[in-house]
Amino acid sequence: MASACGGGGDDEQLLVFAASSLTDVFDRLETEFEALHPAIDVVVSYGGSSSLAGQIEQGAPTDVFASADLATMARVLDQADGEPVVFARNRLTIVVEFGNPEAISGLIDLTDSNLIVVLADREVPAGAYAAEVLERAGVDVEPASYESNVRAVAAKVSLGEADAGIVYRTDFTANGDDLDQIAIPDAENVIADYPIVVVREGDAAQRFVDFVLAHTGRAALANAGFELP
Amino acid sequence: MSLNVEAVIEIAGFVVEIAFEVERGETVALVGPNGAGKSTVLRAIAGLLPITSGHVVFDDQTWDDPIDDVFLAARDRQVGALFQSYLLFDHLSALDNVAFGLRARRVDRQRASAASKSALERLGVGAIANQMPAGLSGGQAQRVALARALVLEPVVVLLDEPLAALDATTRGAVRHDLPRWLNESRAADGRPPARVVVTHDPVDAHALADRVIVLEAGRVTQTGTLGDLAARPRSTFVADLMGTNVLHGVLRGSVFEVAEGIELIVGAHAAGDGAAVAAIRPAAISLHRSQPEGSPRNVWKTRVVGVDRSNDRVRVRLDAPFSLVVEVTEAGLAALAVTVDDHVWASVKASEISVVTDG
Amino acid sequence: MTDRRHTAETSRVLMVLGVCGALVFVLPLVALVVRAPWRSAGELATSGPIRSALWLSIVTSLVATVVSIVLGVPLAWVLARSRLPGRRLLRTICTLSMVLPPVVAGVALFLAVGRRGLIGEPLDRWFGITLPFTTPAVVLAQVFVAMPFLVLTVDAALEQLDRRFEDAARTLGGSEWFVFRHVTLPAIRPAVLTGAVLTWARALGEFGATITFAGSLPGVTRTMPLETYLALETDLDRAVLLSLLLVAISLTVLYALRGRWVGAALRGGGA
Repeated sequence: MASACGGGGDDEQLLVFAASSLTDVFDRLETEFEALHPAIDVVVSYGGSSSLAGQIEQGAPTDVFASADLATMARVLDQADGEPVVFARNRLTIVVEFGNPEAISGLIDLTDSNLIVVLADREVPAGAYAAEVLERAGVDVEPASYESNVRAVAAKVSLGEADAGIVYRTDFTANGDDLDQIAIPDAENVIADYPIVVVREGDAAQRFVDFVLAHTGRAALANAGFELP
Repeated sequence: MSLNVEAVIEIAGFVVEIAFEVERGETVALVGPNGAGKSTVLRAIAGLLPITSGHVVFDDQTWDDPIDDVFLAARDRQVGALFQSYLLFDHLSALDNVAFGLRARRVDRQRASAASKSALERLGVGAIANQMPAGLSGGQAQRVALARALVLEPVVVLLDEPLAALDATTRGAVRHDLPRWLNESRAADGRPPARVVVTHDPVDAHALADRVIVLEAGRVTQTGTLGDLAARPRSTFVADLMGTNVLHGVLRGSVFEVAEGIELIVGAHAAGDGAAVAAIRPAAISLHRSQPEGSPRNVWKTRVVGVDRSNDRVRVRLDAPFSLVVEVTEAGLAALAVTVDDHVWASVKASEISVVTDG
Repeated sequence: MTDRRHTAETSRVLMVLGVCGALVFVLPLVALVVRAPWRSAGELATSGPIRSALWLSIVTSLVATVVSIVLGVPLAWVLARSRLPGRRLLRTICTLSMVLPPVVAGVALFLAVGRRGLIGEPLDRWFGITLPFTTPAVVLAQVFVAMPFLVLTVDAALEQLDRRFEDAARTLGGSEWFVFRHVTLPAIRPAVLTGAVLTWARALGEFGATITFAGSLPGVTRTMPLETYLALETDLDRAVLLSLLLVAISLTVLYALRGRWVGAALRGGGA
């Protein structure tokens, strides 16, 4: 059986941990899932994949975990009851201010020392991917800051404080009004696999994962800029 | 050559109106009950408070004149002030406290120290130059504070209740020494400063001042020498201050009506009509166990409501038909054999009653 | 007897609640000590990233403290002594950052002195000065959130100060600056020191405004709290050790100074 709720009400509570890049999609899925299953109360906690994994390792009562990369997922597998399934793919993109005032056309332009470039820190997945992309392209960038999560990178560019950043394509979609993107060629790009897993076995947990994998989930993911497996 | 004050000072709805002049070398006492505005006047002279109208002038130098828009800052007035609680700076030694004003005027450290040391020595406290204020007795702290004011050779010296905070023994000594210190002090031009002292104690006023200005509720009610005040007090405050009885009543010729049906015959010198104030010294009144023979004219029956002893004097308080204080000797009281609530007869000679008509 | 028993019971209730209150502070500290990777502590503590973060933290927090004193003492003077209209509102505004969520503080700083900010834009355009992502930005963030501690302490001390001492100094010929320097300042010295210590401790622990406004670059803007937060993503041991290091520094300084300045001023202020 899935965990009974702690609050004493009739609703069954389902605790979902999701990478922060999934925020918009999972907010929508939560609403639609709850409409479909009125007896289940979905609570989604967003954060950097690593810190979420850390919380699961520390014994957080998580039912479902959706990570932004496979490596982080691997850390919690011995605690998970289910098998991980890749449900979405994301790729990196260069974001610049709307209208691209600095006329950036590719990764090589980010080496200009007059530009303020921000990246995610290597210790979070988006940062590790960005480092990998830059290495593949043979480009040496000196960023002004290594942000602790990828959304902060997008935020700094949309505030106009940074000229460019490397983020997930989904982050660009979410901030489309303030940003322009410059695509990174496939040969240099990294495709991030997003796996989802049932951590604590239960009917509701399995239903939620199925829901994400089914067409409502796929539509929402595609809409947010994810690629589908 | 004098300090001339003719000012209205308004602060927070309270109005002080005062006019007086102090010559160089002269000491004027500002006397009055608490809240009369005495300290306000000192603050205005010192330049810590601007006056509302009128002027404060020293010789031909205007210190404050709102109409001409002149206001000389405190630091430019050459006023030496001795504050009631001395206000020594805790973090500076006695010597550095005295040197403070000299240092503020950019006198170099060595000369400031030397001048301060000799200022302390003049007041007999050279030995405590290096002590911190926290370790000083009240008398020592006062001398340091006085040295701090006098070392700057001010043209005006202000003293706010200089004796109030001292214990009885020290007060006696300072009452004796302070006039000498003040008389010896000199301004930079070699002449003595004009001095204003605030006090509530007639004995202190007597010891320190040549003239007294009585301030009550922001108004001057009387000025003169202490003798003038004692002889002709114009308010209950002054009478109390001087220990004199003051009676309010109506004067018709040489008859002073104190209360309904109670009349006193007053000396021939006081003639006139209308509302008046009569003063009777407590020692001028006699008490009798029974109605006195030979019938002096001013005799009335009254009742003892209190007997106060201080030092070698006894003061007997009387009430109805009007309140009076009578001063007798201990022997006189013993012979009289009266205590509280006893009825006695009181008498006073007409020549002992001085009367001033109002206005 | 009844009265005495009543007193004993009351104090027992207070005692239990008081100890619970203390546990709120003691327990996390104990947990840090217990959980710390003592075996690898030496090696971790002397590693490059931690050393540079520690150095950056110490330097920026000290600079922020000095800046806070230089600007905060006069500000407290303005709040306590001037007749500036809107003084009360100003006092509230000047202490707002104590209660503001740190991220909001960071965003507000962006909007003020960021590259597109109110002042930041002209600064960038005319002088080519951009603050975000620089070490001065770290200091600015720290000053922004920590200076209120100094301002509040000094403001309270100035309000309590007996102004007659300053008046006495004026009659002795002191200019306003001389009086402030030689009478006011010595009198409020304990409050300035207390405020400075509290300000420094707050600056040392500053995180939210820094990571938002100054970013996070090793050796430039990545202070100890940022390093700790990042370590939490991957290496709990390192995060614990960093936390412990930060706690140890603050605790040592606060405890060492408590007896002297902080305690004295707080006691004096409370009296």
